[in-house]
Amino acid sequence: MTCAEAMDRLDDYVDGELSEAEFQEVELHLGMCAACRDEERRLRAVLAHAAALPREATPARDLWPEIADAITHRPRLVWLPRRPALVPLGIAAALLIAAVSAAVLVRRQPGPALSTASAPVTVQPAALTGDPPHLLEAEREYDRATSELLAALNARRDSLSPATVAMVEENLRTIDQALAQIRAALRQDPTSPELNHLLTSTHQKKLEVLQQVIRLGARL
Amino acid sequence: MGMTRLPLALLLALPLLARPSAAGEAVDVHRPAARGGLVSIENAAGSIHVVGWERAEVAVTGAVGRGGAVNVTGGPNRTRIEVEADGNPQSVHSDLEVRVPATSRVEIEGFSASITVADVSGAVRAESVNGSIAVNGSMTDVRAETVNGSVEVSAPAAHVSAESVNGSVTVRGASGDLEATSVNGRVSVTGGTFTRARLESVNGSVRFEGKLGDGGWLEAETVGGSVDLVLPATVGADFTLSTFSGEIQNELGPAARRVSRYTTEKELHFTTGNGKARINVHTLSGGIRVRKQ
Repeated sequence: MTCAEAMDRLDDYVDGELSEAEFQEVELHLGMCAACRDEERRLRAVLAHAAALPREATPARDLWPEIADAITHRPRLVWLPRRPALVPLGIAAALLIAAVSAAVLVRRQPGPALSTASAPVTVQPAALTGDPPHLLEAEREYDRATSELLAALNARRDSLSPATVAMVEENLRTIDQALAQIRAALRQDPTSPELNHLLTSTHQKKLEVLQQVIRLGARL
Repeated sequence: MGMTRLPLALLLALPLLARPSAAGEAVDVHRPAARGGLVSIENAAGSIHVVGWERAEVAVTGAVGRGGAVNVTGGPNRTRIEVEADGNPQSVHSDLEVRVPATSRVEIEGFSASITVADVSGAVRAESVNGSIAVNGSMTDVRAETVNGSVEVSAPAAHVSAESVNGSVTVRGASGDLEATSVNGRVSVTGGTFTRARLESVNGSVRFEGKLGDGGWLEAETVGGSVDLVLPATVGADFTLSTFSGEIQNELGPAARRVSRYTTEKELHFTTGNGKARINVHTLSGGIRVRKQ
């Protein structure tokens, strides 16, 4: 399949409207072509942005007292972040991509029920009390997506050696420790676009690791 | 399945089916193969060594583990080599050397297997779970990923995707589009001129030495590792660098400043030359160094 043919089918691929054969063709091409993969990511991000846009924006509560307080006590807040709109949109996009990816993966992994013979791969709960509300919400969504992927991984864990499972768990712990460090930094500077981005991308990395292990492990 | 239901392609390929090798025996199978054709290889455990040669032939040699057999199927345009096992494929350790026409496209799947590819110029896709991957040749498109092991790509490829979870990732000589990521390993890239480069490690360091074309972009991100960029002194780029608790050293522009008197966060935004490329670097606790080539 050429790049042009893949691009022609990309909308239907993302929408899940291709036949199985066409789907496999496109997926094979995306696996081999970094440029088309980027195009797919961009398309998903645009769709996620559109889907995440609220029909109307009514604050759940009066935010002004907190904003006024922040302006008074946090001089940096009066500066506009470099990417003021992209940060929440980016998180929303990433969340939706994560949720969609997780759903797709879980749907394609009709493996056996969770093994009771060996302990399942576990994950640290992400959200901590005291985090800013938008982070708590974002992390809840990431936790949900992570849990679904962990369930898919645990369904496949019998095909992985104990050493591989241990290594995966160790790396998930590494990511969890990194997330904890980022959260600690965000408590010091909740408005930092860079830290928000780092939190999102590290969560995304965790999902990607799980997806990678599930996908590679599912071949046996 | 009745013979009448066998697809025509499979019927045509039947004469090419290799007799399964006896358990624990040496294997030596030769099949005609078209230049530019696809060769796919599956070996769950052991090693897979693929070497390009000038002959229009695929040759599989090596040793197949007890309880396993090598099947070679397909035709000259698409050769499939698979180690089949009676029981758990991971318990059958096979070491294979596969010679392919140098211009072949190669797809390799291992599980607990190390993979090496040399002297091939077609696209290479290599995947393993437990095992390192080394790709060396003149291929233009490489995708290599493993969970536990290092990934090394040395090729003038225009598209490279190299990923490991628990291992280092090293890319040499590439250009164009690049993605190199790890969780617990060092990511190191030396190459030519890139249009897009995304380098990530959670806990390891990231090093990039290369050029960016006009309109190109480079994104490097770590949580705990340092980021070291080595760029031409004449690079024309818009830089955005930030670290929460590390230091920024910059040979190409101004010094970094703290963004808040309440935190240690430092960031640096500056432009060099025509500013047509874009370089974003973010890290939590790692340092950032921007150096002249």
